[in-house]
Amino acid sequence: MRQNDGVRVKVDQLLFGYRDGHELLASSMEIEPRVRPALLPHADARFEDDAPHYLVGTPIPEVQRYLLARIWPAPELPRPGAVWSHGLLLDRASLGFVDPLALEQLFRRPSTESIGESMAAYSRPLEVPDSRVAVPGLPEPLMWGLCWTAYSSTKLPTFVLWGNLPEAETALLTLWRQQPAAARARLAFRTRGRARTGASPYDVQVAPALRGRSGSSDMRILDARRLARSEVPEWVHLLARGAEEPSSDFSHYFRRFNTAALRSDTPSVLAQLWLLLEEPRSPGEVASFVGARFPKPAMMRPLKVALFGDYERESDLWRARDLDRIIAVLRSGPLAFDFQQLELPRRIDRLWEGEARHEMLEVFDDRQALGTSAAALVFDRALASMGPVDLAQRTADWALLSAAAERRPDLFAHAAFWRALDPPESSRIVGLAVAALGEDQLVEALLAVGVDWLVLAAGLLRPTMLAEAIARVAPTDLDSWERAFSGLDADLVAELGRPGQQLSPAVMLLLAASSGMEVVRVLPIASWLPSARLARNRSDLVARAGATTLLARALGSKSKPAKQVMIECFGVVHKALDEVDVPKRAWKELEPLLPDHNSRDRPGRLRKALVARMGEEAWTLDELTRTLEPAGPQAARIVKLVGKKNPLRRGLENALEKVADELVAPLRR
Amino acid sequence: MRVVMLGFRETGKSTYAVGLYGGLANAGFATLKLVGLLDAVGFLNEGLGRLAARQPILRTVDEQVEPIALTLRTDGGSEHELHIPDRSGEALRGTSYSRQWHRGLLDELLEARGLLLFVHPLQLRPGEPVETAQKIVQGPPPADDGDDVPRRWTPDLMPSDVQMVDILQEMVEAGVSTPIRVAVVVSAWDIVDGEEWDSPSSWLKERVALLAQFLEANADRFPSAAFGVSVQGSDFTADDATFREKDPWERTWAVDAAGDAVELAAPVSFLLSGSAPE
Amino acid sequence: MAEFGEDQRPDQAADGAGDDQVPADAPFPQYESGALLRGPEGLTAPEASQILGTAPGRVVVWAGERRSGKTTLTVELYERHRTGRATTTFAGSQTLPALEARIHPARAASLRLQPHSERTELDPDGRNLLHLAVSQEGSRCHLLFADVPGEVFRQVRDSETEPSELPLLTRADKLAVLVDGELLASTDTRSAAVSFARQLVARLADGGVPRRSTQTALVLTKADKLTAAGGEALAYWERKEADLHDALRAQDPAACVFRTAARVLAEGADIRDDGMETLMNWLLDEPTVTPDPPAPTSSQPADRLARLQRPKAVT
Repeated sequence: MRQNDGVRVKVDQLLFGYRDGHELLASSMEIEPRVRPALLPHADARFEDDAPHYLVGTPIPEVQRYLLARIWPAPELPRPGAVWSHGLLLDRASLGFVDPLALEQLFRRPSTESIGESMAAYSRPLEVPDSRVAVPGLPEPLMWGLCWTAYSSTKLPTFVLWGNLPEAETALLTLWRQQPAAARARLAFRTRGRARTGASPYDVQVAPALRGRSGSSDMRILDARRLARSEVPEWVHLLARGAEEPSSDFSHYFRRFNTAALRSDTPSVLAQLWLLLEEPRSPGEVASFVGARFPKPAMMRPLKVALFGDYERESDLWRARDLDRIIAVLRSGPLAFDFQQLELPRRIDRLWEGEARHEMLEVFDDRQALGTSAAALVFDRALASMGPVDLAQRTADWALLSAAAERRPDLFAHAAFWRALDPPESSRIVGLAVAALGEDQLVEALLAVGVDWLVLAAGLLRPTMLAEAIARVAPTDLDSWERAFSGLDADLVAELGRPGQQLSPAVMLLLAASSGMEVVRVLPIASWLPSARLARNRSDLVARAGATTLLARALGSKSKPAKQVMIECFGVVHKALDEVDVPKRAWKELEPLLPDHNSRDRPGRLRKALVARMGEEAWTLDELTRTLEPAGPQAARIVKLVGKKNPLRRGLENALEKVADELVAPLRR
Repeated sequence: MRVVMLGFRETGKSTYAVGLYGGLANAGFATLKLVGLLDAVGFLNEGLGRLAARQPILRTVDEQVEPIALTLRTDGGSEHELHIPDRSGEALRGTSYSRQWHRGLLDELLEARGLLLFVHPLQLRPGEPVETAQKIVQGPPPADDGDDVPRRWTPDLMPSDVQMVDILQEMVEAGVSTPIRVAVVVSAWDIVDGEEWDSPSSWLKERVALLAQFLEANADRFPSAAFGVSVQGSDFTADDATFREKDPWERTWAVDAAGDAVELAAPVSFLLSGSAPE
Repeated sequence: MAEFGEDQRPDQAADGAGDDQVPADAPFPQYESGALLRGPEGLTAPEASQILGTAPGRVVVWAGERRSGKTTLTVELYERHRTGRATTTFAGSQTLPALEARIHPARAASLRLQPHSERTELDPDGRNLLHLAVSQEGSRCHLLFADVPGEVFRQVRDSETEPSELPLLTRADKLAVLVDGELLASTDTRSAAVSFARQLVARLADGGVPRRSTQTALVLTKADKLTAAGGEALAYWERKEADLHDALRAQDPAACVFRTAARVLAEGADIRDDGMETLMNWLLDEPTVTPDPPAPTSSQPADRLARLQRPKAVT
């Protein structure tokens, strides 16, 4: 509270007394006659007891000032019932920082003897003493009574009964001092000789006794004279102490947040809240208390921000961790708290980035216990901050996966995601991943994890995409290929039949190796030439099986491309038959095309078939060399199949010689 | 039937109750007979003893309420249970002054079906104007009487008739059921009788005017009748052998509103006449 | 982990005080007042409206300067019933202690030796109506007297207040402009007294008062003082009275003139008729307006309209 320490404050004053009626006798500011009727009732009184004076405080909207007035009986004046009243008029600025108790020192009762001199004194503004006035130890029951009635939300007029009215005046000023400036400007109070029932413009009144009722019985009366400590709620004690100790932490807190007028729950709730913070209670309990008392986001925003705003900025009220604040607010829900104003999205993101990540995951996993909006916020921010492993550990949460596919496709591109997945869960997830990433990116991701993942994705990717991927990552792994395309061959073949469809040699080779002649026949022999070339220098199963099938296809054709395929495949197949063998299914396709069906010399039969084919057309030396080069040492025996006078014999010998040279050349070097 | 005796201190409530009982217990009334007792009557007999000895009946304990509960038979033959708690006038004075009902008194009124309203000529506060005081004070009045002296108004400064009207009005506000019969009993009528007034009615109209007018104007709520009663029969200080020789219940006498002689039980009979037999 | 969602009201866990503590929401202990009787309060307009709903009534405004005898007229009309000088029968008052408190300075019980009337204070709670129910020939009438200080009429006279800002003025069934006979008795003060009355009538007329539904009168108070002052003073008043009467009749052709002496105090005054009975008869004259409708039975504040604050419809 700003007091008028060191600040010179002047307030205007008024004097009312009896002159042809109770009239304004002097004033330090121009009071329009038209506004006097608004002032007069508050500057008048009927003295019904022996009190030396009464006190009135009330806003006077007509002059946009607050009137604080003391009224004295004036038995020395000729008319019975006449009174003097000295009023101070405070503008809004003064109300903010004058000490009300200092104002009390300004009241001066005029005397009839010196009325002439007095008039001049009442016609100048008064300077308020610039010292803070200590509260003279007021009786506790009086302060309890005032605080309890003033801060009750009853709509009925309230009276506090107290015998000593001068004490009550100081207590009322102490209560008034406790209000923030805005509330001070609205509080109306009065002391009277007798409590009255019925409507009244005053919020709080004090009288020494109740003697009967008016035409209305409406009233709430507290007899502070008989109030025992044990009857009074703790919040009333706190407010009463606070009123007398304006520099206490509670008083600072109370002035900061109590912007409400009297007759609302706010002051008592603020005091109760302070007691909770002192105990201390958990953030959850505090949030539920605040949420229940101020159930709309717009209510008590500053308080809510101070309690549940960013810990780094709002830590003077309490030291609750940001995580606990956020959880408390989330549990209370958006009916009472404005998530955006409390910057929850940003703060939740920050928690995700820091050490509280684990707790945030817990909050996320328990979000069903939150209200709809809070759960949505938690979900939203979790999705934004979640890592691939976090996601992989929550594959049972289909809503999460679906949302992640839409908003966080990057998670599916992480190898860590796929590695952390429980494989039985994975096939349905791949479908999401395809939607999220597209096939290219998914295959990239799966490639990084391993071919098994590609196989898992088999039914969900375009066959050509899958085929190319497998061919790239595992060109010699016929088993994986066959698992991937089990039952899907036809689809792949259909793809092959599409105009413009290009497949890599590796895919073609795998296809030839796995699917056999049935598929190889679909395409012209020329289209197989690249895959045949790919197989030429390899000895793996794919190469052996593929080359065998392609060779079978080539043997069945007289075309030039068929010869080319034969050139490329013969060596691989021959060497395999000689040293390892070829897959049975491929052999079954080749065998019928070979001569000497009764012979067990499979390489020999192949050589014979080659020679037979060579006899049908001219072969260049290069062609012969290329054919025999990968065929292994036993290939030399082909020479014996050709007569010495046959020009082919010479060609074969030259070719074998060239092959031998090429084989030893590295040794020579 | 429950009847409340309403009156300020020393307005003759207990004395009337003792006289009434004495008459009933000794077959003294033609119109009303005692059939049985519903409660102890020790204090009534004690009062009768004092009356016989020509001593005033004084209450000793203000807060004590003496129950009077009798079964009576009217001359028409109907029987009534009569309950009349005898309560000190202090309860009424406190109610009027503090502006707050004495709980016991209000409870009795809330159950009452009849009121015996006592007015005593010597206890009357007429509410005289200042001019009366001027006549009493010797010499000419001062130009200004000095405002230091005046006594501030309090409710117990209200004149007696105003206090009575005030209580009757407040009874209605407090929920006492109406119509309720009111027998206005002017105690010690022997003091008044023979002076300027020849009947309780005329005395009431002049001396307790506001009450008389209020009852007249509100006869629908408060059907009323006025009586003058003299239980002691005369001033005890006077040495009148004629009276001394009589039994106390034989000394009692009463008049109706017009001043015609009636039995002491007439006010009760008036209340019972508006009530169904029990 | 979570205790409630947003659709639930948060529980009261945080409220749980120890057994030995007073619950935070405990209402403050009500003063054990028991059933209260009326204190010396006037009625507010809404309270008076309730009365007017039960039987015919008149809202009476004595418009006059300070000390012109406004309160005295009211309380003497009441007191005359007590002293047997009224021709009407007292039927009750919901402001009986208030009437008593106001007449107290004129009673011997005040220990004064001169009758006084206390200055009427401006009541910030608006309790400025006194009630007197009278009965005449079996019919009851509620009189509701405005009990406002002379300052109010001084403000009207001086144009500091518009009559329309005073609801009682616009709602009055009977509006009497008072002239203080004591002031008329002196040549020093009589011209001002008459001038003030004339100005008041003019200001009221400027402000639309009296309304068509209001019956008006010019009332001389303290006529005993004027009479005691002698024939010249009386003659002066007779001239001015006619002027003022004309001014009033310009607004209300049926405006009446009365001379009253509520308390005969002046020595030498030959007052055979204090005028109070005539005045009362005028108050009881049937107004030319419809009676107030029955008071609403509901206790809801919104239903209890302050009907006194708006004029009644003219028949």
